[in-house]
Amino acid sequence: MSEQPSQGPDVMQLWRDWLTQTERQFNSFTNDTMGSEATARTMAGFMELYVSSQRLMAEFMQRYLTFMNMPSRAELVSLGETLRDIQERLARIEQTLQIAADHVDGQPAEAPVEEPSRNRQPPAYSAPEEGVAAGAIPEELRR
Amino acid sequence: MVNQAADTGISLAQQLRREARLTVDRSERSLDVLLRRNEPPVGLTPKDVIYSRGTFRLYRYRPITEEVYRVPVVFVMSLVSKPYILDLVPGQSFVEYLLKQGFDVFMVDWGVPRPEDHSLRLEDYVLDFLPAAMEHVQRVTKEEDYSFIGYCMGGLFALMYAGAFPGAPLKNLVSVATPVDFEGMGLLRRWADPRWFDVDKVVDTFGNIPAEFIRSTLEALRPFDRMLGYTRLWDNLWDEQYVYNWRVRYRWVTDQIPFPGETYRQFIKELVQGNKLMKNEFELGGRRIELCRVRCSVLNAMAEFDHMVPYDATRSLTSLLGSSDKQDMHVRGGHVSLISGANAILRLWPTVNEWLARRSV
Repeated sequence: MSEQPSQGPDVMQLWRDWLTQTERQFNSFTNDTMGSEATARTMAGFMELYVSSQRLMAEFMQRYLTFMNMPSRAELVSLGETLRDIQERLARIEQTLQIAADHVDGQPAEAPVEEPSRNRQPPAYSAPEEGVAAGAIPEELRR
Repeated sequence: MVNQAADTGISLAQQLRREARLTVDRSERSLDVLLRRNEPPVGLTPKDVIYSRGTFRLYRYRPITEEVYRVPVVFVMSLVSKPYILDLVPGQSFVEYLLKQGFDVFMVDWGVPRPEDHSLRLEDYVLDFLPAAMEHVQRVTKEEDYSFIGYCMGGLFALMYAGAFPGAPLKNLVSVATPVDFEGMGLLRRWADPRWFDVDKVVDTFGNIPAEFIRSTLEALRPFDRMLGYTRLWDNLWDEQYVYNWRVRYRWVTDQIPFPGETYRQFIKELVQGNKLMKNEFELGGRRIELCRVRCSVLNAMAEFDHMVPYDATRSLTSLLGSSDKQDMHVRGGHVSLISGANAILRLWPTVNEWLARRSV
């Protein structure tokens, strides 16, 4: 999409420059504001409120599920933990059997796979290019 | 004077026509974005699962060169992101790049924690899962040595492993945006101050820390980023490549996963609040993790404009290590652009390739 070079002011480019400047100012401003003790305490207060409401809700749900004779979330999680422990034990048994099989056969039990040769040598390198100057860093690269 | 005004008038008219035409293109593309059509598929590089336990997976990417370097490379993932961030899309994949350079590439993926995984601790990841995975890497490659590349918290896991097992055949370690000095963590440390942040209550209530909680915390570091990102997208909606890259990046930064509760408690109390790794007081399963015992070759890559893991949190790493072969790499970029996108393709990837290749024969 080629365009004729214009001699007048590029309105969109001015707007883009303004946006970049604004983003930097916003970031600097929020870094100062959000780092204050007052902001940190306020955020923690909201978090406390959210966590407390979640806890209340969980307790209410647990009573409801008990009343309905249904398993609670904690019971399901506990069941999941038991299954995970069984899976862990199976993994360990499998690992032990694998080691034993390797010793018996003298080679791994897996199907033979065509492995690449491991003799690659590094080529001669030149020094990597230096980065562009700080002022020329596009805003996308600052994220 | 009159001519200049006339020129300006014409160019303004041209600009308006151009903007009108671009606005039509924008409108067409905005439907794609708004309706989430043509979501870019990610993590496409062919791979095999060679070991799994619970949600944990060890992948081996299929080598694409006839000869590979002797020492395999293992990516160690963070607990915050999904593994596709290192294998985004063809041409923008760190994994694919290393395969093309002749490395045998593996990846440790912790998976998305399930509710029953809330009890997993750092010990499980560093002292159990990682050593088990490395045994499989050794068995498959028939090589004793291996190298780690860890990004963000993945780098921290790799460092903890190197500190916990100083005799392990870990030959090289590339740490990318890896926090070690949590005094330098800026806003995240401020918000986690024990005077007002009760981590026990949060973990005891939620079990695993919800992904939304992680995402909103990270977004609060730069609250205008998302809005300005949308504004830039609107400005470039007619540009197919920009829209594609924006969507890939957007998927990355918004696709957080839950954080295992007990690990979060340990992470906040011992590392963020206690800064114990920096003070050589950090212990895992009774083992003191002392970075001065790390002897492997280390490349520490860090970004100067990183707002998630600030430069102040990463720069001390090499000074703490006992390695004789260690190197810092400063990149003018941010947390994401350090490892992905044009900046990474130009700077980080070739440097890692060159550094690792010399040490992988």
